Amino acid sequence: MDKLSVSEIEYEYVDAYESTENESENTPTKQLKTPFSFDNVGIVAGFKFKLIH
Amino acid sequence: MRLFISLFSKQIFNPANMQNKPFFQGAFIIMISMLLLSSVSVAQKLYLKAALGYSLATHKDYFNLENAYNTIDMDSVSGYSSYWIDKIPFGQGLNFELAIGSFVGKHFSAEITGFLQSSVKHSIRVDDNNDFGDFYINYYSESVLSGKIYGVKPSIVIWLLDNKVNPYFRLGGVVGYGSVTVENETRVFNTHPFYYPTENITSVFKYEGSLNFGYTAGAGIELVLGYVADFFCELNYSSIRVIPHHGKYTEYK
Repeated sequence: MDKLSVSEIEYEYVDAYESTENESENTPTKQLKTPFSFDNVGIVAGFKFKLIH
Repeated sequence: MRLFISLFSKQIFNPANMQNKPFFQGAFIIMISMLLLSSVSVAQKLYLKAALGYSLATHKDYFNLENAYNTIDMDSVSGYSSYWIDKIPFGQGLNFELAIGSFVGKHFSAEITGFLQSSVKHSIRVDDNNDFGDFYINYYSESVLSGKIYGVKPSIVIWLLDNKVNPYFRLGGVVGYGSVTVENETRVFNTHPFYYPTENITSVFKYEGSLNFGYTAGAGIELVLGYVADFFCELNYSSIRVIPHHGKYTEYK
C-alpha cells in the first residue's frame, strides 16, 4: 500500500462522474457505465417452522 | 414504525437513488413491510423459514479493462493483444435465506426475507505485447472477480390451497447492499531501462454500492411434514443491480 497516495487508494464515484461522452476519460469512474447486475433465476429449498398456529 | 418508515423514505426520496430506481419499487417495499408488521402485531400464524439455494445469472456485465497501465499500450504502433474477456455473471452462485412471515387469512401471508448471495469467481486475462522498434513493453494482467450482496426481500405470498400440498406464488421487492472484489496480478515488463518501469503488482480492489432496489417473483410448493415443520421448494427470479459508489484498494504491493 506504500506505493499509493491517499487519493489513489480510495475512490468516490458519485460526484466525479458526469458524462459518458468523453471516451478518453481514464479513471475508475468509467465503471459507472456498467453497474454490476445480480439478476438471477434460482431454486431454493428449506423448512418452514410454525411458531404460532 | 415511524423510524422504520423514515429510514426507507430517506432512500426513496434521495435524488441520487431516484436517478436509477423508480419510485414505485420503494413504495411497494414499504407497503409490504407495513402489511407484515401489522399482521405480526396481531400474531396470526407466525412462522420462520430457512432455505439454501443456487441461482444462475440472467444478465451479464462486461468488466471495464481500462486502467492506468494498459493505456501505455494504446501508444504502440505494432504488437499483439490477447484479451480473455467474459461477461461477468454476478448473479450466479449460492444463496442463503432466512424469513419471518405471518398469515393474513388462509390464502395470504406477508414475509420479510433476509438473504445473502455470493457469486462464483470469474477471471479476466489481458496480455499485451507492444513493439516500439528499439524496445518493447509487455503488459500482463489477470483479475479474479467475485461479488456479494445481502439485504431483505419483503414480499406477499398467495397460497392457492390449504392442504398437505400447498402451491404458492410470491411477489415482492428487494433492498440490497452489494460489493464486488477484484483480485489482480499485473506484470509490466519492458526492455528500455529509462522508460516505463518493470514491476509486478498484486492488488485487491473492492467496489461498494449503497442501498439498491429491485424486485422478486417466484412460485413454489410446500409439503406439510407435521404440526411444527413444513418443507418447501421454490423457483424464483430476482432483479437487482449494484451501482458502485465507492471503491478502495485493500491490498497493493
